[in-house]
Amino acid sequence: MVLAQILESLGSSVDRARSGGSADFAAVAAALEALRNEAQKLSYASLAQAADAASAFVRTWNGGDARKLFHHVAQICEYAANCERSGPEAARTLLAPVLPGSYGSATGAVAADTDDEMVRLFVLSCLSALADLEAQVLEFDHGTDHEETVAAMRRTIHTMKGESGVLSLAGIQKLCHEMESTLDVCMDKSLKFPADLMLELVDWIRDHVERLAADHATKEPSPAVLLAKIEAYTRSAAVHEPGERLEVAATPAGVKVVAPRIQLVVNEEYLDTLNDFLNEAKQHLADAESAMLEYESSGRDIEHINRAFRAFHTIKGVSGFMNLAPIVKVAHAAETVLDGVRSERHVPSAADVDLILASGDLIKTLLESIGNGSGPYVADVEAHVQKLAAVTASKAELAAAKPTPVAVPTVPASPVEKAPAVAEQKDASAAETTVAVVPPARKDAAPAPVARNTKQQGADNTIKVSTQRLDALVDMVGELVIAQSMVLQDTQLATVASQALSRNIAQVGKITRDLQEAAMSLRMVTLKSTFQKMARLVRDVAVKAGKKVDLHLEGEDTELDRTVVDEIHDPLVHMIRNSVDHGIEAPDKRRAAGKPEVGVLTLRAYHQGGSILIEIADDGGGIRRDKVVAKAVERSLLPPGTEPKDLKDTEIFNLIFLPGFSTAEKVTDISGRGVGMDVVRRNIEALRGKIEIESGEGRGTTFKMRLPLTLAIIDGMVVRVGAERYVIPTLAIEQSFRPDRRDLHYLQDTGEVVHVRGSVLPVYRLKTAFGLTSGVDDVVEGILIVLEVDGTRACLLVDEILGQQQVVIKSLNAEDRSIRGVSGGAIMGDGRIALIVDVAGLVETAVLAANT
Amino acid sequence: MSTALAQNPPAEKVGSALAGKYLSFRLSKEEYAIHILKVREIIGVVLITPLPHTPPYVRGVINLRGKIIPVIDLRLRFGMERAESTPETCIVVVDVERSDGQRTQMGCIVDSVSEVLNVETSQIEPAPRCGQAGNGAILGLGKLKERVLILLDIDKVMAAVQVVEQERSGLAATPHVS
Repeated sequence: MVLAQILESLGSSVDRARSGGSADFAAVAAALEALRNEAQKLSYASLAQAADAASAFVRTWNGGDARKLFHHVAQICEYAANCERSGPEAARTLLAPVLPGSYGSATGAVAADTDDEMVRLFVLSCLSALADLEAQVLEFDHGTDHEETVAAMRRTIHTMKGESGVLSLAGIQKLCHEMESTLDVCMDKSLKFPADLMLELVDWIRDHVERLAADHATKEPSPAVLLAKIEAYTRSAAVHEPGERLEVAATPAGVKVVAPRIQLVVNEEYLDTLNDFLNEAKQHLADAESAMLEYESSGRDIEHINRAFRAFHTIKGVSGFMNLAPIVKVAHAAETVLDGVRSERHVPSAADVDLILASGDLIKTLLESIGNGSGPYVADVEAHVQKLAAVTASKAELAAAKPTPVAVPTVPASPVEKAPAVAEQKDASAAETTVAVVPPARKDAAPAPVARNTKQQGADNTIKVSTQRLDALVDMVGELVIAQSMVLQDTQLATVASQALSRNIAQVGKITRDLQEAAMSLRMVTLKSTFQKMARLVRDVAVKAGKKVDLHLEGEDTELDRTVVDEIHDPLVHMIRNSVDHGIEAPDKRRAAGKPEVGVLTLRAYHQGGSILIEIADDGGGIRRDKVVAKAVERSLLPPGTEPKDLKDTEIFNLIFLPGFSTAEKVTDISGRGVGMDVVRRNIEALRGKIEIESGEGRGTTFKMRLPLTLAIIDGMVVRVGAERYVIPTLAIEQSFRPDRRDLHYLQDTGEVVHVRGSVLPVYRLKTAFGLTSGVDDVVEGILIVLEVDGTRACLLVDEILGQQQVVIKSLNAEDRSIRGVSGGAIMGDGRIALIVDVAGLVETAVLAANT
Repeated sequence: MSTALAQNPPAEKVGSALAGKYLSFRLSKEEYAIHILKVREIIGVVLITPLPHTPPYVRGVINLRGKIIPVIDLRLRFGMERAESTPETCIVVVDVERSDGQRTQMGCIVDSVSEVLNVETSQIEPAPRCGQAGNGAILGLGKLKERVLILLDIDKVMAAVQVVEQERSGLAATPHVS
């Protein structure tokens, strides 16, 4: 049997069954099997799979409802017909609900044939969408224009839904969808905004997407719990309404007609298929939507229009079957417009696409209103249909000749029923001339497409590049800079007296510097997303701790190196948790102290002298000096012999960075174990940054982090020991001086010490520390550099200071992290390598060596 | 010895897996060879920046066109005496796989580089189960007309280097004097 024959027999069996005749399941099963074999022969893998699944379903059919099956068979037929026309895989999405698995539960794993790049892009865009969404949810509490915020949220969710639909991620799609409806319900009935619920949903999706990024085959956990929560929320909404949602449909008699709203009621006999229908219709809508969006972004591939067309067509068919006239009307009108596009190869305007998308939204609203009597206003639907009609209406006689209702009673899409499509193709010819004059999409009905358009314009200006490539570029530019300076410092060049040459060399130097700057700026990102994450954190922690906190963000647009941004996330989390949990007092306490109940936490970023400062300031109780001192004494953390009174505030405050130090009376699940601040300081120091605390009792605390703009370059002091040069990070250097012999002493327990401005510091030799054979031995012949690290100060003896310069840090490629006292290498102007001294490691080693 | 031999694969099997082109070089009186695909380039001796807390055979790091790579003195690695640089002394830059699976480049100081040779299956004999390089760093022996090439598994030679480095620096409270 050839494909066409099989399809015909299948189609007629199904039609017979649908029109109430006796269903010949054996015939259907046989036809399906024949179809599968044929499909295998033609190597239409998806089709074979779908046919196989359907025939398995038929064989195990136990006398329940068969409509779903018939619907699927119809879809398989349509797909098969499509395969005949335009080759396999062209209309795969048609099969999405039919493929194996749809009979059981959705798998949640990405469809097997999806390529990695697609998943990667999806993950990226989904994560950024989630970040946006989170920010929007948080904004809701503060913003005044709630409608605009909700509209923005809806746009974000919408996009995500569409994208997850493309990858057949049913769970995410479903959740997105529910989020949308929740928002609708919330706005319609002016309920309390369900911020927690939304955030929970965001978290769930993010969690899944992240797992997806790690392993494309990840199965998603069932979103059932969340769905139940949404359900509970929407139900609380339904209480305000007369009657409940779907239950009303069970008793059609109970439906009361409210004049202007559309009432959709489903006949009792279809009630059991209603859920299937709704799910499928939603799937189709999502598909249509993503098709339209892809159409716009993919350079207007007609195939996407075909997809959207088929989706609307199917919805129309099934809705007709269920007597849902308004849906049929809208679907039909949308389909007509699309058909015009696809047959005329006409490029529709953005407004047309908006209109189609709005149609999808409208149908969705209609679907959701089934049985609950709160559908959109009849007038709105009419207006929309007319708008769609206007696109095709300019050739009046064609538009008039096509009576919209004719399509209404048609049976669901099946290959047999192709006549209307032909008719539509005719009036579609009318579309072309008029598309341009289509009225702009209704504002309320089409927020999603509008946003999409602006987003797309923005997307054209940016490209996503892998960090590896970027790093490679930065590396190469670094090499260029080195090579350039090598040329410049060439001794032979100095003897050349050509003016043109020196001018050209200067020019190359300038370009090189510009290029380096440009390359560096490529790695720069703003702190915005990091700060936004903090907004979320503040909210969560505040709720948990029972505090009221307002977060102020300043300087979110400050840019710094991507790696730094990544690395400061954790310390920020710790510090913010601390500030909210310990810093800001509980509302009653604040009131008692004469402060406003709501505490203010300010997160501020700004540039200062080549580094970035990030401040976290709270207006809470401040650090209580006495408490810290008491705790320090209790744990004997103070150096022996120090009187707490003599300690400066900064010294006291620095105690809180010690591991295990916490003044919190009780350990909460947020903080209090004393691990946090230790981690903070370590992380910041690993970034070659510094942290300071300012605090006044009762006035609040400010943490100040000073971070380098980039990790690729450091400011260093170039020193010489013997024949070797070393770079010491300027950040660790307090001062340097040529010692006087009178200031040098030898102590029994510490060894050599030097008297510097009132303090006695141990003297270490770089020569000894690095086991060098040359270099000065007598301290007075060299230079002493006062280093400060982790609160420890020490002097380092070097032969000479050669100068200060910025150097590009390079890995030694020798698992150099294991080399104590060396953090990397820098290529100097003459092409040789100078090691960069890891001051902390060096001092540690030296202390150890001195103690043994 | 008999058990050791039993563990070794048959000679012809070793040979067929190892046959191919090798770069031969000299260390003291011996001639060694590295499979040509492992060799990136050969450069003259440049100034080497010594690294602290590393074994003596780690001579330090060099700048290879903007990239920093470590340099190993193969003589010292194999327990031979250190030799002064001559105009013939070379650094062979090899591609090695690090213990963490990443590929990296390293330099090997050798006395002189001889030539690229085609070593055939029939000329290769399994490595004796003894010798300085240990750890299976010797792949086999290439018996050519008048000479014997020691075929080195440079990955293993270098892997051993890193292990030692880590061990040493783990204990490196006392600075190492080279």
